[in-house]
Amino acid sequence: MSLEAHGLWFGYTPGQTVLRGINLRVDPECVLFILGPNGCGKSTFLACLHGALTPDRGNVRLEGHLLSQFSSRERAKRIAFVPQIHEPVFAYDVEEFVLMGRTPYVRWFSGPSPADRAYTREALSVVGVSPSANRPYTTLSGGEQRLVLLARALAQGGRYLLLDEPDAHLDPGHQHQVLSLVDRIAADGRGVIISSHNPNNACAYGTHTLLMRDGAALNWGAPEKVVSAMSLEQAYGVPFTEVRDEAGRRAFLPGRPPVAARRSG
Amino acid sequence: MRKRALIVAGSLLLCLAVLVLVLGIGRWYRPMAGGDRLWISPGNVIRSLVGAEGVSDRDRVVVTGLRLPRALAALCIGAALASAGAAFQGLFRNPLVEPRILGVSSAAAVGAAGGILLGMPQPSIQMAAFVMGLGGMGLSWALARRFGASLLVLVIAGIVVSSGFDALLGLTRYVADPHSVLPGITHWLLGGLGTVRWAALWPLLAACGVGFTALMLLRWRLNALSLDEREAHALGVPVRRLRLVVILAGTLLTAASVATAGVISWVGLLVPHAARALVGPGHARLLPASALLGALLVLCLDTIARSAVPGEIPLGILTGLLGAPLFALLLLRRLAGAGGWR
Repeated sequence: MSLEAHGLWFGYTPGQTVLRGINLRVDPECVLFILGPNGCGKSTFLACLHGALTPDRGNVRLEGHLLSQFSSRERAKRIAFVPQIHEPVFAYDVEEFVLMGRTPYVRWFSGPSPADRAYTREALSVVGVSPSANRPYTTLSGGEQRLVLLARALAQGGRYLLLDEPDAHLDPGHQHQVLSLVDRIAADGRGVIISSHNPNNACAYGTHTLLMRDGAALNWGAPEKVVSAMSLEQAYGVPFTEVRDEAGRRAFLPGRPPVAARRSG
Repeated sequence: MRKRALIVAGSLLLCLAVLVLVLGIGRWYRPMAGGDRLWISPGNVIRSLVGAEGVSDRDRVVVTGLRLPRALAALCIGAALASAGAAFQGLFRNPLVEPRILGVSSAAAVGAAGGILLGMPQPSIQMAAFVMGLGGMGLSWALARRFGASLLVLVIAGIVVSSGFDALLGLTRYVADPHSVLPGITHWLLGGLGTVRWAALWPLLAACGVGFTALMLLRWRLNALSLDEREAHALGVPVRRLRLVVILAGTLLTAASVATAGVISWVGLLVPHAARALVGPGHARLLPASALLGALLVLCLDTIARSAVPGEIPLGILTGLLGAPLFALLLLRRLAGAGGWR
């Protein structure tokens, strides 16, 4: 019972390689953070993991079977994908938007059942957004949009969730709100993969970390092992300083001493 | 459920009421005397429709033989163009898309102009327009497929195919005899329902029935399709295949309409906007609402087209004159209200 990638190679055009033989495994109740610089292939990797892109070499296995053997609907019932924040063109209501998560359950040529609507309302109550009608998704704040996207993934009912930078463009309070919700979702028996630019969130909320550079894994395993000042410098190309509080929480400060201190000194 | 049944029944009643009213309006052509106004009361219209006694033969022939098939065609074409527009706008994730974006209208126009040039009879001209319309879309799709069939590629392929057929249309007009043939082509291009009789109605109804039913059956999948491509994929929608089916259904609707009535602009662009303002962007309600509004709009415009002046105003001119200002008004009101497209 896991979602696994075995030696994935992928390029958008012949001759180009975005992913170079990457491996990964996520089990239920795991929260796996993928860290790596811009353009290292995180989003491409996520797209391969839910079959939006087909790897050139290697394969993705879902619960022991090749992902390509699942029909679109059967795959969607197992793996949900939460995209980066974006503005949809049409202003669907919050409830209508979350209801789209039930698409793989709606039979061809049919509409959603009362049960589908019940799942939708339940998912909204889990993320704590009121389903009050006539609120267009496009008018929500960034934090609320993230929560509604999560609710849609929950309504989809899969065991695996792929989140593309769910902490981007959010203030620290909303980052905490979203990521502790993700933690709760994972504790319910779901496997979560998160791409992120924030190593501190990986340490605070993750059970596993995959550190990537140039489409390959630099390191992977428990965040205590994988995330260090040295490995982060290797990945991002800037020096990092590790700080630790009394409770043992770790955080990493990138770059040199603060600009203000240097100017005054 | 009961609410939905009430809305459906109410919409049908509204259509019927407008139809009865509109069938009474019009002109009556007598040899040598031109078109006189001929108003038939709603009571007499209903009597002619159900075949009851007490109506003059002339009124009965005018209502059931001339005005009814034309009005039904107007309803059908309005519903077809508007619902195809709504589906295409969702599919292309772009509220400025018209059903003719993939070159359907341009290709159909070439088919019709070619038919007129070759002196074909009316039904063959329609058939040529319909087949060429489908062919135009097929060409766009085949061209786009060679380059990955993304939405952008599809739009560009549509532009290429449209401009190619527009040039061919120019060629047929250039070689057409300016005294005998060219007026016929010009008249056809301006659009109108003046030639519609019962025989021309059945193929139109059949094609539109198939196209609209297909769109309605896919109404929930269309919502997911109007999101980002990877999102739609993750929701379990086979994006490429579904796109092709929706494009086929929309093309069927558009080609049948253009083949019957010529190029009628604006309806497919404008009506979905109005419908979205009424019922929101969800396709389960947007498609039928667009169809209803489109049907009523074209029916009313066609009534003006055939009765406002002796002779006839081409329908395409009316939709263009009224469509652009209406569209600008709707657009500006929505933009002023912010909150995105609805």
